[in-house]
Amino acid sequence: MAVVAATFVFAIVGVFAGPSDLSFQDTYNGLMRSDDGVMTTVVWSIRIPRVILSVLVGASLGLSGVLIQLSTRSPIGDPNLFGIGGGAVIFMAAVTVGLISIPVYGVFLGAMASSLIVALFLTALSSNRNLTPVKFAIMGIAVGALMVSLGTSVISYGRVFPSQVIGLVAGSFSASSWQLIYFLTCSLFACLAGSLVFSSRLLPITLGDDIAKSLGVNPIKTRIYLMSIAAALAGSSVYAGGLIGFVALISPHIGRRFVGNSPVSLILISAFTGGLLTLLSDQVARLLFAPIELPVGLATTMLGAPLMMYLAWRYK
Amino acid sequence: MITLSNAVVEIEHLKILQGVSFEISPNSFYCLVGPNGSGKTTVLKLIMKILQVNSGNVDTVDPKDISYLPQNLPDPPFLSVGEVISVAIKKNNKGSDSRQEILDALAEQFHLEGLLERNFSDISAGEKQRVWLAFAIAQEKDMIIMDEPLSSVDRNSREEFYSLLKEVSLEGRTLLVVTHDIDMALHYADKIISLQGGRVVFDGSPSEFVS
Ligand SMILES: Nc1ncnc2c1ncn2[C@@H]1O[C@H](COP(=O)(O)OP(=O)(O)O)[C@@H](O)[C@H]1O
Ligand SMILES: [Mg+2]
Repeated sequence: MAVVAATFVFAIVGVFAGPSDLSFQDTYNGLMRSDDGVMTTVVWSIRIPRVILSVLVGASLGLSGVLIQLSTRSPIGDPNLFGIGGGAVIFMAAVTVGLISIPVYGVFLGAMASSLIVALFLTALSSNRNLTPVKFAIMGIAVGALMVSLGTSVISYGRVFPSQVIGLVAGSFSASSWQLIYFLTCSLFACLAGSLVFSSRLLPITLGDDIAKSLGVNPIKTRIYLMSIAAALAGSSVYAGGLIGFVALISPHIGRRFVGNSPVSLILISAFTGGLLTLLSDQVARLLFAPIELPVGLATTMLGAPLMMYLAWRYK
Repeated sequence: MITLSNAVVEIEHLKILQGVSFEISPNSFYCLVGPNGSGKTTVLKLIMKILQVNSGNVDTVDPKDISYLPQNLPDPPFLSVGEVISVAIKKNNKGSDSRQEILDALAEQFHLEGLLERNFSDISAGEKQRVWLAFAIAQEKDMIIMDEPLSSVDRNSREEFYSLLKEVSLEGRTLLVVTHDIDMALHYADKIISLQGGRVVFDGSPSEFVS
């Protein structure tokens, strides 16, 4: 509950704080009146979409993280660390440099499909009995590094504007729009529903394949299913905000401290924690050196890395 | 009822089981004994349909109707001791007791009272085996199969857990337990099956085993 409340409070703060030097009264007018020229535009077309989008992307990442961590039994599971988001980065880079030209919803679906390919490859790896979670994590990180370098190669090939490149590989919400919000809302809620349907299988698959089977859960099918949802979430988050690090990794760990491992609660809290962290990070990124913006991925990493070190310190 | 008839398993041209036949009939406590590498784990994997025979026949039940503890158990990450046991309770809650009551009763039975809140990966090997034992019993299935479930438990507690398993079998459940504790098997089991080099060398009651 505290996390939900904090998300709303900071969302409101985010609407009222900004580099365009609007007074509180101006912002309020912009919010409430539709005829106030520049104020209305700033509030309704820039600030509100950006706040909503950062929460949606963060929630997608948090949910994606908890699904990957439970499916692969790896505490450092993160779609962007393991190259699942990286698959979408390659695709988005190809679109950005003009190698692929399709309508917007095609780009959205293409980003998710590219992530899905990497995720299914990792799922095949994780179903190998000889691969311990630690070995899997090492291979995941290698795949992640490979994907980012491939994506960067595509970008270098295309000679695009640096700001677009940074937005893709370091995360940015500066291109927020109501259309992006519409796409992300659809994908997030579909994936959330899908995760909740399978929530009773989340804990059995962390007990190993043989025990999962004796509990009536097919571990391989379940992992394919959960990793596919995680990939759709990761791909859509890259589509909307680029590669944002650490949110997926730490949100489940923070959430677990509040609600334990009861699957439905863990799913919901991971999503909310991700939303809150990303919203906060984006506000920091936007305001710290205003009017110059940092990529939001840098802010999440600055916030996430120390938190992760603290959690690792406390972990057995 | 589970029946193996002339089961042969070959892995990489190595005959691991060379024609194993036996029957597991309901409501009895079976101990499967034999030296390292004699094929005990392989036999359990056949029954659980993790492995298939190369020739011969295995007549078994659906794996999800068996409560199974493999020999090598992974450390579930993230979960506390109580959460691990609860996964088994949630799956099959027959009685009217709440899950918490069942959990507390199991914790008392397996001497895990102080451990429920602890992180599973933090506790000792013997404690982990006690948690898995509680996990197996908590599923309330008619068939329980365990592969060396008490190998790290200290001797005194082992005696106690064997008598507990005996009680469980007397409730009308079937147990098949792989063990190296011949003396415990002689004392508590209804039937002993002994393997050697992938063959059954004994199948009968403990009193016959002695002679
Ligand atoms: N996957 C495998 N590949 C090669 N050899 C195996 C494999 N699994 C088991 N074995 C061999 O089969 C024999 C029986 O193994 P196992 O059933 O685990 O014995 P036990 O449980 O009685 O100690 C051993 O010699 C073991 O090395
Ligand atoms: Mg064995």
